[in-house]
Amino acid sequence: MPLYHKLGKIPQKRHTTFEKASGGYYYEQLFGTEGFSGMSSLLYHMHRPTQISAIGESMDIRPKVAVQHNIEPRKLVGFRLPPEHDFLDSRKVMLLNNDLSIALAAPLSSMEEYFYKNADADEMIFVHKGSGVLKTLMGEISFEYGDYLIIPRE
Amino acid sequence: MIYQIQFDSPENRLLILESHSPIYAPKRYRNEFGQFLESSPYCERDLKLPTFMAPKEEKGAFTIKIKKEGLLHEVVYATHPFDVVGWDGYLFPYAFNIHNFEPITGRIHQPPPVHQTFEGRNFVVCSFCPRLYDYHPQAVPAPYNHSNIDSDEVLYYVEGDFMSRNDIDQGYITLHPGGIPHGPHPGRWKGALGKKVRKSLR
Repeated sequence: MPLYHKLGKIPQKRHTTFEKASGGYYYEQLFGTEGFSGMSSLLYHMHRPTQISAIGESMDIRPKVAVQHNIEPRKLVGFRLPPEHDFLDSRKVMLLNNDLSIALAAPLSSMEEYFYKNADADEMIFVHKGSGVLKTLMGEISFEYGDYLIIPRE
Repeated sequence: MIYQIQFDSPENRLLILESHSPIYAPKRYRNEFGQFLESSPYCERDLKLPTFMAPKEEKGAFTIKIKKEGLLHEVVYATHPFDVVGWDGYLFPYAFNIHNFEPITGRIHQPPPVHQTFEGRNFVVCSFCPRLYDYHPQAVPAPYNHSNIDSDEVLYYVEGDFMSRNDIDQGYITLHPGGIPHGPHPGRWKGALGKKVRKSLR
């Protein structure tokens, strides 16, 4: 967003030491999606954000295309999509091309057991029914009917 | 952006677009400094920005499901991902409510780009909101037949009486492939003549 925003505690000058009251330092991270030339933010973590302890399973979730090279005008009845408990499982891609995909989802449950990030794509979630809170490492956004949530890839 | 989504009830219906290029507010709505112009249908005040969430200082095993190149990887971290004490900058998640989109109307039918809300590489997102119909005494409020060669058109129907179609309800998607002209259903063109207010949301 072409808008400057600031939350919480940050040091006076970027890329300088930022001491914890309890001793030690906070860890700086630059978050951007287009090299070092696009919009970015500087985040300060309590712990190094790089501490991978294990890498588990990988699952291929690429949608299988039912109709290639479609020329037919079509109508899809979106609310016929059955609800599913898990947020990621509930997302079903309806249309896609090389630039974007469009999915519908009817999730029944909140995401609690895990966290999620999309390293492939920016996400735009339009809330047609429902409300709740999007929790991110940059703060939380409560949402309701009519909201477009814009979540940058990372 | 690492996130968790929490719902207030099991009754949720979402439309999710994933873009391989960044999703931005249209450049033509902003001045050289990035500020929204007076002519833009929405501006900074309409955006919902993230609010501060107390950081979690926890150690353990935290699974982040990471989507990359079409695969979903499970990566376990030793510290809670929401441990940020502060940040500043221009890149962050935010929300914009479609009801804050201020439609641009005219004496005669305005082209779809006046409804543009976001842009990415090779695509745009538009919001067709309730608004006054075109007010020339002989205006045709229903859209004219049209086709584009450079884009497919996808409509998602949110709320209201969908003027140009006879067979549409909430949550429907219609796809209008590029190169094939499309327009209002029979009867809807004539039925729209003399109408004053459009109530649907797409």
